Amino acid sequence: MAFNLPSDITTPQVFEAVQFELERLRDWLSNSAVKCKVGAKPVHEPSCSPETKQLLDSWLGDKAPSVTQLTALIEELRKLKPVTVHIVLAALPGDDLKQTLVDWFRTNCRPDVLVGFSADRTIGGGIIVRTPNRIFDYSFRERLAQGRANIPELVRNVG
Amino acid sequence: MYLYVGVGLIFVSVLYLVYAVNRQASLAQSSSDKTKTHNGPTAPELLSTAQVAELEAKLKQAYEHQIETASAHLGEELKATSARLNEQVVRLTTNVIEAELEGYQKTLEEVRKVSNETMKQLYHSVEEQRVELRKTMEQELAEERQQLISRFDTRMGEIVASYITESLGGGVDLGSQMTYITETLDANKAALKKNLSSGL
Repeated sequence: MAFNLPSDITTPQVFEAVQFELERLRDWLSNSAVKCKVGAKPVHEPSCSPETKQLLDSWLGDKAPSVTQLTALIEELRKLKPVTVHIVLAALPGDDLKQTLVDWFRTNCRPDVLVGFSADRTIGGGIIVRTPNRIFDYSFRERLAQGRANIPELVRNVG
Repeated sequence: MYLYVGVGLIFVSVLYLVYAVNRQASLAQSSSDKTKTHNGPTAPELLSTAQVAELEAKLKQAYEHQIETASAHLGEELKATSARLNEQVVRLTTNVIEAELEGYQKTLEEVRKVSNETMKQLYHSVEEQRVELRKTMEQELAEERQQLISRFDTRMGEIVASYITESLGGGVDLGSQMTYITETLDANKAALKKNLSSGL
């Protein structure tokens, strides 16, 4: 069964955090089972982020989590090797805008894209897309730089 | 020289005259003496002593008069000659000076001509160089002006772009840009997809 990256796991940081939480949960389950066998008091279950919970729900369904299933899930995530794209905007977007952009990349480019976000007010507006091997600059700054040769003529025509 | 000759002639003529008178007197005296001794009672004498003295005085007077006349004449001749000599000298010196001046003026004229020619050539040369220099300077000024204009245009473009970018920097509304962003991504979807698919 092909595994698709959940829509709410958008950024590389979230992806790594989900992986970490799953591994921690698996380790807790493993330790709890051993402690139960020896009669020791198990450690409190570690908390998970909403993204991790949603991933678990989609993976496990109604079943209770087990070490085997969690190991399989972790392995699927490791095999996934998602592509990371960095986007630069004039300001940091909110969650809605982040989700919109991530959905666009996963719909139009690859379903396993992770999108990192950063802000740079000097670009004025627009977007800069940085892939692992190329930069696509669609910012206002670049548009102005490309058209700066026309500015003197425009000024003369106005004058 | 003429003076001396003239005076000499006069003197000789006077002496001859005196000699002739004395001889005549002596001949007359001897003739009367002969007549007197030969004929018994003598004929009367030709010139008496007083007459001879008078004649000598007259001769002397005439001689002195002649001398004076000759001297005066000679003086006048000398004056005239001196005047003529002066005139000749003046004319000769004037001619010489005039000739020298004329030569000097000719030389000056030639020098002036040469100088004028040289000045004309210098002027033409300077004028040509001035025109050439002006052309070169105008060309350089035009090039420099064009460079300044190009540099200004470049800088102005950068200044305007920086100003706009700086002006837009604050208060960015991403929500209003999303339409532009999504349209831009849609327009470049193929390139993005190709890069994300093939580059890995």
